[in-house]
Amino acid sequence: MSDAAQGEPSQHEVFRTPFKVQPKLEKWPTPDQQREYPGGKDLPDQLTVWRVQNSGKDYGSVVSMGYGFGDSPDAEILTVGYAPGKPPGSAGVSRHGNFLQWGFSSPPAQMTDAGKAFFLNCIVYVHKFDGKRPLIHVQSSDRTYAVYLIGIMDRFNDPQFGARIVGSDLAKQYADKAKDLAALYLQQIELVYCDGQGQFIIDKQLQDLGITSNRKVEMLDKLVNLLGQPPYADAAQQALQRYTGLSLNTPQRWQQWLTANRPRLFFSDVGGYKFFVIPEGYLVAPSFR
Amino acid sequence: MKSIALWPLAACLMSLLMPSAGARGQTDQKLNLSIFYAGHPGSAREADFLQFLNSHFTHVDSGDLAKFDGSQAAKGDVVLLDYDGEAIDVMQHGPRPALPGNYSRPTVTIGVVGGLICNQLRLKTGYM
Repeated sequence: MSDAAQGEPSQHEVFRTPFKVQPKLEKWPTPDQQREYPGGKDLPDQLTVWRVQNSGKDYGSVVSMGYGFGDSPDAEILTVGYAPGKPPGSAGVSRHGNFLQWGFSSPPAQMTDAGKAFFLNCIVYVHKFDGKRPLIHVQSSDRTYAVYLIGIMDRFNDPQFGARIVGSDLAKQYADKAKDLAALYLQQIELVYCDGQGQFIIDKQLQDLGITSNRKVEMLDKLVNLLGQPPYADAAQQALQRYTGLSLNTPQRWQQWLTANRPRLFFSDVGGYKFFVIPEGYLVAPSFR
Repeated sequence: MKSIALWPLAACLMSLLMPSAGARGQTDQKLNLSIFYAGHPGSAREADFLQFLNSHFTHVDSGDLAKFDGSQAAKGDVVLLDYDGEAIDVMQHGPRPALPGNYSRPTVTIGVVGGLICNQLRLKTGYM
């Protein structure tokens, strides 16, 4: 990452309290490399940035993967970093649970005034998350990035790369037409999941059950309902186990679990393509001061 | 109409009243938090961070990142994990503190070493 954050400071409290972050905005050219990534084609010619530090280098700071960052309520990107070569939307400063990663590498003497204010606000902000450990841990790439990887699997020198992410049969079949395979995955992106071996799969079982998305709570309702219909009960039970990590053994118990947890359910690709339950009292209310 | 016309003036006054950490004119009062900074003892980077933190927080303590195991976190309301050196050196030789699974203190991880620590903990904030 360069010395700059990308995008104007948002209304998030981390830009307002206790110090107002008032950066000098600049326009920098959109890195050509970013256009290859998902979401890159639509970027404008220039990006709004502001200097957080003056290291005199255009490298040395670090970003985190932006795709899938927001798929769990324990994580948030506080600012994107201007990072040529990295996908658009990569996180320059971000939080996951009680950890806040400040991706900029310079010490305070090299921070701009706005950078200092932002850094101090980050310290104050993360204090609100005492005891709030992350709800999920990184198990996989999110589906958007997975489809991107499938589309470029024929560009990797490692011949096993394709087999690792889609299985050896598909990798062989689409060895020189990876983009076609990616297009197939993209058509069914709502049904993509990652199995225990790290391979991305289109969930044909859900498709056969008439379900169109594996990340909506409505899927759980439908699966629980199908448990009572003998021709579909086994497939529904398997899918419920796959997407919750639970192995409840009666339709009634599944229904009780769903009813009790419905308002606090979320689905995370990054966390392993599963539903998780937000513990009572976990979420921290934002400050509107 | 009157209230609309007064908005720009009110906004200017508000911005003058808001404290800004970077410029002078920021709050004279220190922030009421204790900070534990774990970095590279004796380095210029550590000295810079400690001077800055001491000027903004009521209490600042420090230690060695290489020896940080989570127990020192009790010394601060917020913990900062940092290290000096070029990115490639930090990647190859920087310390990697092992935190206990139940570690839950508010923590700011900084720069390359911070991203690597987050990778180790399988956090979304890890180094890409």
